[in-house]
Amino acid sequence: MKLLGIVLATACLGGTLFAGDVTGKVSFEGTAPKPNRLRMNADPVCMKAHKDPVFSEEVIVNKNGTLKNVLVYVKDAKGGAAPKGKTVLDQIGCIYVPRVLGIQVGQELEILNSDPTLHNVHSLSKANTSFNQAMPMKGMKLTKKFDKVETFRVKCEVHPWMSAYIGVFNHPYFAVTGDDGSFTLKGVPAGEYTVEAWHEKYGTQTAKVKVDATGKVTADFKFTVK
Amino acid sequence: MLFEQRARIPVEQRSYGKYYLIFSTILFLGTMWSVWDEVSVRRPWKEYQRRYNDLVLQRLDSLRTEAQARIDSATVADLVAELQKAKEGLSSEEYLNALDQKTDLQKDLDIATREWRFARSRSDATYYAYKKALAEGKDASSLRKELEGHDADIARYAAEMETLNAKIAEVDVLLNRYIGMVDSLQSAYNRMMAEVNALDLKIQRTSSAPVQIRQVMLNDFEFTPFNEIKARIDRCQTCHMGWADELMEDAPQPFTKHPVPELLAKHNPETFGCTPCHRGQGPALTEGFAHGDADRYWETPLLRGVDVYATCNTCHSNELVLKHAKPFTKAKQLVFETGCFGCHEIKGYTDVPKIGPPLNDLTGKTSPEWIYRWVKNPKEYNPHTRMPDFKLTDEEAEAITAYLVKISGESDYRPIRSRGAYGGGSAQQGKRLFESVGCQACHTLGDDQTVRLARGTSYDIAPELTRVGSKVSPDWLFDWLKNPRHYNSEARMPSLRLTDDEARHLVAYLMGQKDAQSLPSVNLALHDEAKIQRGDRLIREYGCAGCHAIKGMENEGKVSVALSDFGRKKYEQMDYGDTRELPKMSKEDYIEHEDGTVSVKRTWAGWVWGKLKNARLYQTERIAQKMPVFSFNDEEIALIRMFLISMTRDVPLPAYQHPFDKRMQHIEAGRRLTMNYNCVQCHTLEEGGGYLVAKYEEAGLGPPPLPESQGAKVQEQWLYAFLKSPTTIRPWLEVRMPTFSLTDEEIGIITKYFLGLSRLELSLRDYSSFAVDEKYLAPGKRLFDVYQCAKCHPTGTVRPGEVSASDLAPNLVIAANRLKPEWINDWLLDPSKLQPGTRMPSFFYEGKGPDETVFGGDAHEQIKALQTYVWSLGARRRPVVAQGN
Amino acid sequence: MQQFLEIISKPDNIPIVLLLVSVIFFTWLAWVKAKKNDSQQVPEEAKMDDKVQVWPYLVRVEFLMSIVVMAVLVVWSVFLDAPLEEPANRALTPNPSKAPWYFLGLQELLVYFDPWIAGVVLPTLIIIGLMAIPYVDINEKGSGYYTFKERKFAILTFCFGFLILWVALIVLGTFMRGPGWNFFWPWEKWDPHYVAVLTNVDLSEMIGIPTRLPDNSLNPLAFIFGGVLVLGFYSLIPFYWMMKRNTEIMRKLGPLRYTIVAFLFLTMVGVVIKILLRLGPPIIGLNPVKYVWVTPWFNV
Repeated sequence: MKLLGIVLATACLGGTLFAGDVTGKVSFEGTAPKPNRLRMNADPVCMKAHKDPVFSEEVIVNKNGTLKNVLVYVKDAKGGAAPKGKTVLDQIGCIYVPRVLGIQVGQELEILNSDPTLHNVHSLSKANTSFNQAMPMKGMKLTKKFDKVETFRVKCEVHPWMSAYIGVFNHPYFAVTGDDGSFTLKGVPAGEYTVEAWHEKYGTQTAKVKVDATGKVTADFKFTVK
Repeated sequence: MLFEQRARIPVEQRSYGKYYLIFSTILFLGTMWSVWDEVSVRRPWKEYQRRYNDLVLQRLDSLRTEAQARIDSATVADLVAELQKAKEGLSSEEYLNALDQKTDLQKDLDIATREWRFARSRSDATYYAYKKALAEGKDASSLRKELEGHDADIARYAAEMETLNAKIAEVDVLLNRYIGMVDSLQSAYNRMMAEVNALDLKIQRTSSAPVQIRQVMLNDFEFTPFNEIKARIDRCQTCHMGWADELMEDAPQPFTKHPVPELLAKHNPETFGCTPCHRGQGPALTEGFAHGDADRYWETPLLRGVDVYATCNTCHSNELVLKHAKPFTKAKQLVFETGCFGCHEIKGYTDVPKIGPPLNDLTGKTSPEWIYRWVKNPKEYNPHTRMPDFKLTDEEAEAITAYLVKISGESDYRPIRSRGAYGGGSAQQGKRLFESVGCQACHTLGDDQTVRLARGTSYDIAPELTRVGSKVSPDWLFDWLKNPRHYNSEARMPSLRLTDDEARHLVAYLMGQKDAQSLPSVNLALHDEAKIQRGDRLIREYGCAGCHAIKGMENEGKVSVALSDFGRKKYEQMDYGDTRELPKMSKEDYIEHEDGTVSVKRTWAGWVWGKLKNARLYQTERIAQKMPVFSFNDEEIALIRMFLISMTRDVPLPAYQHPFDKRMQHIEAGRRLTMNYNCVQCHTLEEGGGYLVAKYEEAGLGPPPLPESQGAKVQEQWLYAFLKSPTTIRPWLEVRMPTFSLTDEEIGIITKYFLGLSRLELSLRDYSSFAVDEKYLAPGKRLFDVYQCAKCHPTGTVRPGEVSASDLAPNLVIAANRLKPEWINDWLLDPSKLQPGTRMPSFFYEGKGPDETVFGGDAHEQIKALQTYVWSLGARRRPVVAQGN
Repeated sequence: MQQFLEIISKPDNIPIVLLLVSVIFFTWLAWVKAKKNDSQQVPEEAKMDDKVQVWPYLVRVEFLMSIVVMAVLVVWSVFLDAPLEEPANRALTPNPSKAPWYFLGLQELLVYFDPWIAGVVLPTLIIIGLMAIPYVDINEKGSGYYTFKERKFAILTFCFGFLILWVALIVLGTFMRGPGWNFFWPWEKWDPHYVAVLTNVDLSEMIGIPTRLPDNSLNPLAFIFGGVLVLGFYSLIPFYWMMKRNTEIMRKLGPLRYTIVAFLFLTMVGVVIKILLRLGPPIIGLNPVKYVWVTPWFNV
């Protein structure tokens, strides 16, 4: 049994020892489509939640010419138990926050309704069991777990403009680009991988990376729109 | 030379030792060779089994590694250390002393117990003697004394035992402290390693799995050609070992997991075998023979690709829809819709209505010139028509036209309205109507191919209207639009309840759809008696009456061969005409060359492909062919060919067949009816159809689907009234449910069909007397508000622009007249279960409702309350049955 | 040609090929030995007068040969599997439908004769003929050694009756009769759609006597013509032969045996004549002969 412990410990240490980070940014070239203004007059609660006009978050090009809400992940990696912490998907002001999120197989997703109105969370998943649950009251919480690798859309029928995307992975090497369009995939074990960047409108871009022991690797992506 | 030399040696002196050695060696080696051949070369399945086991082990190992990785190694190490420590405690002095002590005590206890037992035995014997002495009147006092002595012994030993037991228990407490610690740590460790241990067990089982033939024997499966009952033996699983193994999802053949496990749920390979569906040679154990490719005498080789669905028909020939066999369903639909059964007798297609319209009143509808143009080549007028091309000569087309015009002259059809009543419509309005009320579900017009593409067939189910202005007369069209049953009492076209003005608009729009092609300027001799006679003969010869009702041809039989055993037809029985030969081994079945010639593979499959591609392909100067030319696409040809493979008389015995019971009969009748009236053009039914929905950006703006729970959903009375005279349920939709003028019998078929799909029986029930519990009413109202049901289910009129129309749901005021109360409960509990993909969300999760202030959040009580409230919304009215339209 | 190779290498046809080879070999061997014997006064076999014991000198060779045969059969079994075909089905007969190979000669005769002759009369005559051989063969010479000179008639009859009428017809039926029992040369492909010419006429029609009268009844003239031919063949030829060549042997045979031998021999020749009448005329541009003699009860 001691021996087993030693072997296990070595394996775990080895995993972190021979690993590197993949960083990069997702740039955008071309003219971004004008975002649609969201008309929320169907639900007064939603109207009241916003003072300024609200625009669709489908395509957000950051000031530095990068693309927000791109899900970047290692395509063919494996590993690791699900972390204990949960990921939160909030519905606030009749908008999903965050719009794009990644989660590990078996990890808990907490769906929160912060609006005093009826939302329903309809997952359009195919591999995972699809659900469509109503959340009529403010502060309601739902907890979900996913067991298959898949990226799918979540929508609300009451407020047709609401959309979110969830990527389920069997490893922790994924990230979503933020306001500066950069991402970091931490602690990817040494090896050769395909890294994919996925955007809800512009689809998938791939890059090949080779992660050396304790090295840093850069993988940049570019979405070009004519 | 050698022989001559040898011949000189006298027989007695010849030596044969050398020859014996040589030939015995050859015999020995030959025997060894044949044994090796028999054991190894001819049993490749052994190697397959070894490879399979290796593959399983490999995958289990990697699973085990993953499972191991999921376990927190630090925790395990801690646990192991603790366990080790606890185990060490078992050899501590205290524990060992206690153990010794317990052994000594146990020894003493054993002695005491024995003495106690002996004392009791002595006491019993003495008691007997004492009683006997008493009964015999002897002196018993000494015996009595003895007895008392024994009883004292018993008590003494019992007390001793008690003391010892108490001492042992004392020691046990100490011992259990040690053992308990080890046990609890051990079970904690086992729990943690449960997954790994389970995998270890599997690994052990796999590595010791015997290499052996795995066979399924189906006794009394089928009949031989001599009507004797025959068993079927399948050994496919000897090599195809991974069919049920989740691990083998992406494994290479022959280990791949079965791709359609849903089918295996009803046809379990362990009891049903493989060859009933896949064909092939079950008992064979080498690939070529088992698949039947290497054995040219095996009559039913393995079916590959889409062809495997052919065997569904051996047992399911009565059924049009098989849920998990989509290609089969599609093939059945193709045969149903293209009317193969008009000329050929086909199992499962008896009593199907003719697919074409009656041809008795044609001049009331169109002109003789158009009839001529159409008969000559229907595809020229409408490339997507189901009518095939008979490749008629001008003279033949003229003769047939003459006959049709003659019988039209005997018809008494006249439009109801006076001539010219159609006038005054606006084409623009007509176009808007055409595109909104639902005409496009069946009729294509112009460039809008959406529904056609959604259907995915090479033909349309109703005439394309792009050139309709060149075909029909406006008077007829007006009459037809107002009431299709006036012209044709069995018309499939329903009435869309158009007002006179709406119909006029549509006539104006449709009559404007003409093509530039001028009608042939030939002079048709339509009243020549000889021509009419010839037309009569031609119509009979070509079997037009197979698809069309034609006056004077009511009793015509099917003009072509029955297809009952067509799938067994052999290459020798087929004629390939002038086509070039493709050898049997070639990959393609059929090649069209640039010079216009065609090569056909000299097999059954090749012949059928050519025939379906071009029915006149094998025609030669000597051999005339009557079958008309269809224009199937390649996918359809493959499907129809698959269907034809199933045309054999080989049917398993009833025990292996799907019972065609009353429920199935009801469902099947419903399928035929709904396919005949093309209900599936608009409504999704049994996971098929709903093609019109493709026209709408949001599915919710199109016709609603009819899920399997439809029979459990609506009240029979309501359905009857609705089908007789449709009422509005979703006022925001522009598309209309048309009036099909169904007979009571047909409505009965549909009702039973829906009930059958929901696994319900038809029962008479008065829904107006459904009792609601008043105590649930107020909580129901509260929940209705808290859950904001009215957000989607409007109770009043909808203001435009508020919510997108596709996100609206029916007004709940009509619920009490329309829905079954139990269905409301089921629906509220889990809408996606009843109608997968519905936009209605589930409010109840794990037996709880979101609002915990009502009934403590109990889902069933809350649902009851909501049901009661929804039921109370509708003013109770008896459904009004309108007659006619 | 490739198909022909396929056919002769089919597991169930290989014995026939071996039969063919061995028949040719042994016939050749017999001829060679007979020729040698005929050319000298004393036959070779008569010179070998030294005798040895059966045990062990014969038995040891026989045992050796049994080992050889076993070895051949064992190796054979490795290469060739039992030739199973499709399950029997009364609704679907295979094309061509062939009898077991040893009956193919008889099946071939069905092409030229009505079934009652080819299937009943001729086999019966063959058996009777074989049974009759010891009684009609009174030639004492040439027994126990290879010779031709002493037994010309017997050997020629055997060669003709067995090698040509029996073996050759088996070979023909096995290898050259394809679908529809049509004839195919070895280099031709067995085409199931092959169409053969069907223009057989009766012999009487060839010389201008129609077999049937306009009312479809039998023409007595044709009946008489055929009858004269057939009965004449059986009676006049032996009579003429007896008159012309009244040899010692014929006298020894006596009238009864002579009649039996003549009848059997003529039947054998008749079979060949009928075959030639069917096959020959097309070569010179005439129609093949269907029947020689048409009667209301049977046709020959």
